Amino acid sequence: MSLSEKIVKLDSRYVWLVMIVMYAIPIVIPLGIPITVYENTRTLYNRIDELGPDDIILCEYGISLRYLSGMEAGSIAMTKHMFSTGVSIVFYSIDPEGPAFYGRIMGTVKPEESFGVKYGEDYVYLGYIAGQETAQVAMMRDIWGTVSIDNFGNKLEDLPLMANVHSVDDVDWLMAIRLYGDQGEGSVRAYSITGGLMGDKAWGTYSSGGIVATLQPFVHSGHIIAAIGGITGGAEYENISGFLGEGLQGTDITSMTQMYMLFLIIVSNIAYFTSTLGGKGKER
Amino acid sequence: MSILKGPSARITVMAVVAIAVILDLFVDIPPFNDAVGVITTWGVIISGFMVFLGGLYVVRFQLKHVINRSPDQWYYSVWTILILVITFAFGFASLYVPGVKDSYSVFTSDIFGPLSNSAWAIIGFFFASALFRAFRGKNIYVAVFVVATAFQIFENAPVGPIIHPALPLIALWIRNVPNVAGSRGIVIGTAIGIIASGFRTIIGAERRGAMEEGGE
Repeated sequence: MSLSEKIVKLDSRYVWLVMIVMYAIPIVIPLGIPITVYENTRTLYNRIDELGPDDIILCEYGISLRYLSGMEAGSIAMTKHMFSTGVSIVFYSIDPEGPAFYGRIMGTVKPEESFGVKYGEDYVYLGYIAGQETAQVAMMRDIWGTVSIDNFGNKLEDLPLMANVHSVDDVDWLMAIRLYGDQGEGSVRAYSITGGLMGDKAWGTYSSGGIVATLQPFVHSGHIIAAIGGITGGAEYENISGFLGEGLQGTDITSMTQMYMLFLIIVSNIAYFTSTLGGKGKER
Repeated sequence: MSILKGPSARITVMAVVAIAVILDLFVDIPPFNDAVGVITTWGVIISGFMVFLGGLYVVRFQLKHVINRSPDQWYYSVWTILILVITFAFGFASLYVPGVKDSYSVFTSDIFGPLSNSAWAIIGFFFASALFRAFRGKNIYVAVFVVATAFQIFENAPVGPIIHPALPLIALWIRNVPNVAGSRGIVIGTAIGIIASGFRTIIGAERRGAMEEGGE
């Protein structure tokens, strides 16, 4: 068997073994590879930075815990940035694991201690609302009709922030930190079409890296102001906002593993074509 | 009342609600818009019950395996039901028993979260080996896919711009031009398909769902 054929038929366990080494190197020896902040991240950062104490935003807030390692750092940086502007935030989730995600992020952000905000006056968490797109539409139309208590059992009448927030007409912007089961068109229908959040009021989103490309049509059409994703997007946000965390550490691992994957693609193709052409030569 | 039992009744309700919700986007009559808003809120309530119903179906499905002692399966089903019952009990009790709330948080954040994260992280290894086996330029379509993937790697990995500043720019062009064009086509095509399917459902031509429970 030639070298090319051996490579083409290589046992996957060798691939995984080298993958583990690629993961481990940046942990043992931090590489400190600098981050480039792209336009999408800059746009989202600037939009959030424009907000102030007189503004109220809705924040769809919840991702499955299995994505935590990739999105936790970025979520923390964005949450801290939102609180730092003084904006009032109404959080809610349409993912069943949203409350667990909220608890974990807020446990790190510690908004009362770090930013001097007060629950009920400056921010509220309405909890998990079932129904996916139906829940999003319901929130756009009538928040008080959709939920009567927050995630902690407090009635909306007892939360001063909610006194003036009844529907999307009472908020200034919307941010979605979430995963997308579809290509994003459900959220565009709910937020942009039903809620009227487009153009100047286009909403922003942070999601997994793979969905960013599928959301680009809606960024170009003005429904979404900016879509960033994954650990790299989160690290960019940490870099530009100054709220540094574990995202920047994770990008070293991203660089090593992705370069390794590129190496696999190149070697695999060279070996495949060499063995294929070599086989045809032997037939002649 | 037999009139309420058949698929015709279900289709009628489905059609009325669907037409009302669609008209709501084009009609600006406050009483009508408010009525559709109430229907939407009902949808949220029904969705909540569906989550609970989903849990019951999981129990029913796994219980079948336990009762039938399905080989290589029944003990996983026992474990699934046990964990489901424990989680439900903890979650329910956390609403009313003060001390249980913290335990439920530990259960979700400190047990379920890391386990879920770890299970998902394993996919990275399979992805690497799948990449090695599948991303070979066997034909022009795969070759284009491989090249586009390679450039996206340079954009996603922070080391990309360091290797050459042009590499992530090419990736951004791929994302913003051919990707947007193709995605627009897919989204619009999917939307037209949904409109056609929805129209068939409203007029009763799509009877698969309604017929499933032994209708007419």
